[in-house]
Amino acid sequence: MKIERYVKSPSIEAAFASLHEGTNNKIIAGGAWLKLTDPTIDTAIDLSLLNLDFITDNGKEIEIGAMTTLHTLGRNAILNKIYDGILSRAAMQIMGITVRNIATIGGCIMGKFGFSDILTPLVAMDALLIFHQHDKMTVVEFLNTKENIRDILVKVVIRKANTRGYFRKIALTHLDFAVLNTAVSRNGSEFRIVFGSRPGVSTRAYKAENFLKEQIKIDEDVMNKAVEIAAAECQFGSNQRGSAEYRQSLAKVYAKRGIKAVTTNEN
Amino acid sequence: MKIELTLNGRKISVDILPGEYLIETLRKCNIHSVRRGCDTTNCGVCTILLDGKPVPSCSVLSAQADHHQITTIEGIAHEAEKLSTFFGKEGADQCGYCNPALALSVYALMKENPHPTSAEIDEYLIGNLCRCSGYKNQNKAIMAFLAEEARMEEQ
Ligand SMILES: Cc1cc2nc3c(=O)[nH]c(=O)nc-3n(C[C@H](O)[C@H](O)[C@H](O)COP(=O)(O)OP(=O)(O)OC[C@H]3O[C@@H](n4cnc5c(N)ncnc54)[C@H](O)[C@@H]3O)c2cc1C
Repeated sequence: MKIERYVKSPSIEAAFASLHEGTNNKIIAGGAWLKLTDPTIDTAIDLSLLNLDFITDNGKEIEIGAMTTLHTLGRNAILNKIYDGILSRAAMQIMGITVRNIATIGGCIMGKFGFSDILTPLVAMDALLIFHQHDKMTVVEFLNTKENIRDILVKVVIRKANTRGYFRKIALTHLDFAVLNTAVSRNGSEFRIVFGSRPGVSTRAYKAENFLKEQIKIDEDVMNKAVEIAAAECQFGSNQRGSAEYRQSLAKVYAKRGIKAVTTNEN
Repeated sequence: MKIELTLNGRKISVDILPGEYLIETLRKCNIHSVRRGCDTTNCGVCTILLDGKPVPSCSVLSAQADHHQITTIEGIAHEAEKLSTFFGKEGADQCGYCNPALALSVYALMKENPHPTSAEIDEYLIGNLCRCSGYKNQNKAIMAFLAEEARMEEQ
């Protein structure tokens, strides 16, 4: 990585101003992914002095600072409970501890990585993104927007409710990207069915979610129908890790297990 | 630019380039135990402790570490020597290239979870690749080392 200047910003306002001083200025979080892309940066803006490494619970919502590392997400007691711990579980399946100790939730979100394991549960949890200046938006809105948001992600908010969750990463080893990520969540009659690493970025199966919402009873037939709808409405692609057909087959199997898990006690 | 580090308990001040990584800065400070491997955070041989936590020194910018504590194998020489006798007994060692990083990770694990299960050891050390010894004997050696440490603690 070629860096002209490195600043540890004393305030979020200063970091925002530095970001807008030049088109080639960049935020550095863990810096793990930036290193692999080997960019040339005029001003590298370090956020480590801004106290954005926190997880708080105000009773109604859980707030996660953008500089919180994956290992902290994985070890946090509150996150290990909410939605049956799907965010923690996803975080702990990413690489080894050294990467998890530097990679941050902010870097994972702002990178919009197709392979990201934590974006899949974050979408299933309807997580809300709070920026310094830009209007807040849900993770799924952020992933779908074409707008280039040149702002600082400050925190991620997850509403607390009586929720259930399921997450599975299908990968050869911990050091591999997923062939497919599946997350399913339920909040009363509301379901979320999310596929990530398709290999595209995480996406919701809206039609299948609506279908489930209309059902009085979630039985075997309903589940089978829902996963057929989900696998048909979402797009899957091929790469060296798996073909589109293989991913689509996996999607049906794991979405069904997910629906079962969040409607029963099988998790 | 200049940064300040506490390297193995000693405060130092070093001149660095803004895009320089810790592995390079540590070489300047005559620390040669930190090995260069894949340079992409995959192999774990460049592991050091940053404020007590294992991180890949190939991917942490030195500027990020300004005013933080760095520990390399030289900083835990006593524990590393003890661990190495258990590695020897179990035949968990061959070329030794990954050893300093492994010892640092075991040290960090011991602080985070002094009584890990065999599965927890495997899980913690997923990012420390070893291409000669295989992982079984390392696991046995670490279990035996931690049991001995716990026994000493009780006494
Ligand atoms: C070898 C390797 C393997 C990996 N494998 C996996 C995997 O299997 N699964 C997986 O899910 N992830 C994987 N990752 C990705 C990792 O989980 C992180 O997503 C990635 O490292 C980015 O996090 P970071 O903190 O390092 O961000 P950085 O690299 O510092 O930043 C990434 C981008 O986000 C921007 N940014 C960061 N924080 C903010 C903020 N607060 N506001 C605005 N912009 C910001 C940066 O400017 C940059 O453009 C891997 C990473 C590496 C290095």
